[in-house]
Amino acid sequence: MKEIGYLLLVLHAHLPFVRHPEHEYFLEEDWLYEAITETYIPLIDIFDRLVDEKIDFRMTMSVTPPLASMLGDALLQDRYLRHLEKLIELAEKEVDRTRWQPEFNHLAKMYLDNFRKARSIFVDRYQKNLLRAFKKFQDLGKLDVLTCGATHGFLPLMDTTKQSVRAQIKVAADHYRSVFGRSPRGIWLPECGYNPGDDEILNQNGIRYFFLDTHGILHGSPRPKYGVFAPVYCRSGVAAFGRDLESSKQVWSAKEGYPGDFFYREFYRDIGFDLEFDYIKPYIHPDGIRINTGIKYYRITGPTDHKEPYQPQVAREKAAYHAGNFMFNRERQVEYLHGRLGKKPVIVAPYDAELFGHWWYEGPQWLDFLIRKISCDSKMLKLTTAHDYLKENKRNQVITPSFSSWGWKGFSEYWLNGSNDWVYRHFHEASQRMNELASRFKSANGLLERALKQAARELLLAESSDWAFIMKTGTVVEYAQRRVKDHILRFMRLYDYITNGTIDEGWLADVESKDNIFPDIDYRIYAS
Amino acid sequence: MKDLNSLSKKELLDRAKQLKIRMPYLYRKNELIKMIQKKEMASQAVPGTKPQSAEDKKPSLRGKKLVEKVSSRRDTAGDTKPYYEPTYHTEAAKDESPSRLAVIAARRVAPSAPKGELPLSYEQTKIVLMVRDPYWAFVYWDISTSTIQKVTGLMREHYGKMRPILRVYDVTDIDFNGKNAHWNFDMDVILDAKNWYIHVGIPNRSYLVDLGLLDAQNNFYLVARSNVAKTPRDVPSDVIDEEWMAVDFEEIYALSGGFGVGLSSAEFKERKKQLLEQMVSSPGFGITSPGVTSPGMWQKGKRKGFFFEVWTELLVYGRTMPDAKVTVSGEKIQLRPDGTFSLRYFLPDGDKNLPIQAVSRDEDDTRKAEIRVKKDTIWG
Repeated sequence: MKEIGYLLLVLHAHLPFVRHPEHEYFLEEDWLYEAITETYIPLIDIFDRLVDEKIDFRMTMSVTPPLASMLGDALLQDRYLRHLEKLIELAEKEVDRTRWQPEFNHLAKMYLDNFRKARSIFVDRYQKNLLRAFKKFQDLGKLDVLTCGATHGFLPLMDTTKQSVRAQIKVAADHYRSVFGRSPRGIWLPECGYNPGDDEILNQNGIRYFFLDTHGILHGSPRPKYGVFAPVYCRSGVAAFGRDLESSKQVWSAKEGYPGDFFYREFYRDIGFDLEFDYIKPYIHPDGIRINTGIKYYRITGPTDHKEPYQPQVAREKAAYHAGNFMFNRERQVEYLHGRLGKKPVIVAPYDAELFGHWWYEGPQWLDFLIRKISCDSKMLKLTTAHDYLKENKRNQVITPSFSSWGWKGFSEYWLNGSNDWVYRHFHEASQRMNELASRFKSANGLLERALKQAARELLLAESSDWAFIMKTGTVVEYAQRRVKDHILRFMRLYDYITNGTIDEGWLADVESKDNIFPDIDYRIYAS
Repeated sequence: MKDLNSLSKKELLDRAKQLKIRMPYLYRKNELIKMIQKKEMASQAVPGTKPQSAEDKKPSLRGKKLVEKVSSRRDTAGDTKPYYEPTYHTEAAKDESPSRLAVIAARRVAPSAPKGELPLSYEQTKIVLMVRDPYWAFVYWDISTSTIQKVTGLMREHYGKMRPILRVYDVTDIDFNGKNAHWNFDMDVILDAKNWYIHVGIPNRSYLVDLGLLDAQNNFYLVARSNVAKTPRDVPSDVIDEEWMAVDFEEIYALSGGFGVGLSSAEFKERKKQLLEQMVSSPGFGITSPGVTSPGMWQKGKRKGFFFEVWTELLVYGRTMPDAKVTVSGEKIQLRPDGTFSLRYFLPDGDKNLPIQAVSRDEDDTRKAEIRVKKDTIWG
């Protein structure tokens, strides 16, 4: 029996560009280190094993330009290794310390094994550069790596400064080529933020497809005949795939989602908070502020403060069960849809990559089980990528999708509200000035060119949607505000230097060494 | 500071007037209290104290915001006019004197922002319209010093009879010439707020906004005109492509939400809204803190009630010749270069024995020690 429907799994891997060479230790850099240990390396390990065992699979994953830039950065690679070595040291101590706690001792050993394995994958297999792994899986035809906005800027709120939208896309595509050795075929629009017409810019950059939240397709015009179960073409000829809510819900939902299972690992009981201060001090913030270490001994247990010890074997069985349940539900879904639509539906299931492993510890195992079950057991369901699907299904309806995002309430509110709306006047002003500079200095070299390139970098870094996002979530608001202000102020200073014709080279060199993203950036894209 | 909460709304209004807070009746009581407190603080504050520069800054773990906002809303129940939510930046809201435009004009003559802070104005006159969702838009504006002076002059000339407004036009499918909008409405604004949320109210329409002054004779003085922006659709399109006509679009629509057959699009919308609210779209990295950023079931491990936990660890340490071989329960342990060692164990209740043995390098000499520990925790 041949398949009657497709599952298109998308993992959106992204972190904002956080790199502070001026500090020996910088708390927010830990986001990257934690994600490498808990998400990226486990995923890479799974893909490697699937390849080794010759299990055919198709996955789609965005690796955003800021994340790719950090993964490829020598300073951060070395700092990650330093971080991991400390983690290994802590796990070794934990194996000793828990000698009389059998319920934790095997967990300490598990963490020690995992961390040592992570080191081996990071250092020995990929020479500290995990981009090699993603490139390898893509070159093998298993993984479709999407690009994203250059700094994950939320495009709909740049609508009045189209040069910024163009730059977000073009810089990303150029960077992708330098990292993956070919042009990007697909893109994950930052926060799925789509404004009708932006697909023209994708088209100009050779990008063939992107992804939208459900209502972006459903509220498109004319009405989409197949709902979100088939892609549509925009008038530019670029295809748009819409998110399936049902499969999203099973993983994301606070009430019904798998990650809340009581046997899964509890995120919030970390030894960084639980253990005696002097003992844990070398492994937390240098100022003595307790933070997560990544070593956690409890399971969710239930809505109670009393937590039971984590049992990896039981959790693993749960992950297998949940993968089976997910596949079963997709099979029922495609079975029904195939009958109703009269064609093979494609179910698009996108998730934030960092959910897997970091938040949902068993997420990578779940994914591994799911891929294996579908590849080996399912007769109805086949894993696909947007590229493969479009190759087989050339005829699709032409519609104009609707303005949308996958954020809270589905539009722009999360990035445009009382906590963060002050940023846009500065972004827009800087963008217009960048346009002015690029139009005025079409061919620059030497110091002037360096200043122009740095100005473009500062603008892009300010535009990351992450800063507005953090201001709204209320987590590390002060840091996010500082980042916006610093990048805009650096931009304005560069603007003044350039227009006055006097550039402080020492200062420029310092800023270049800090905000070193996109070394080959072409600032001319900002010209009108 | 006296407890403002104990004052009546009327007393608060009087206080607000003394403090020259404009249009205090616009605010709810708690908002008014905040305004008054801020005002009183500001009058005591020492000018020139500013946040340190970025470079000296430690990774931020404190919760203090650099930019605080006061927002207020006037409820217009029964009023057909769209209501609005003004928001202020503290920078802008600081001076609230009647001649505040003049004060601002004076400030803008020297617009240099404090170190590490962004400029308050870019010395240009413009208004920018952005769409938030199918029903709401947002505008921000900037007014140059010379324009502010003109505006101030006009307002003085028509003292008390001239008010700043936003005029919102529906310009869907129109090449707007200033007169041919489908319809328009006015909203009072506070010029110094510099931004405003507008309840435009209708999805899938294009809007344009003028910022200006309105005098008693209804003459409108334009200060700045915005770009055009379109609100998104909130329901399926009416346009149907014959060639791609769905047999039953309602069903496809409902299925796309995954809720089975038979839901109307209105029900679907409600369902999706609920789902989106409980779903965690785009959690980013959660960035060490949850809330909307992480799956909701992982409510941050904050304990509700009082609690008390006590644990015990056993620390064993000693020293021998640096080249000796030391074992604990038969397992070799690592000595520091100076021959010292430390062992640390979680100590549960009960009896524990820990045999330790040191053997000299030439294996001639062996010393033994056995640590016996009995531990009880008596909970009272």
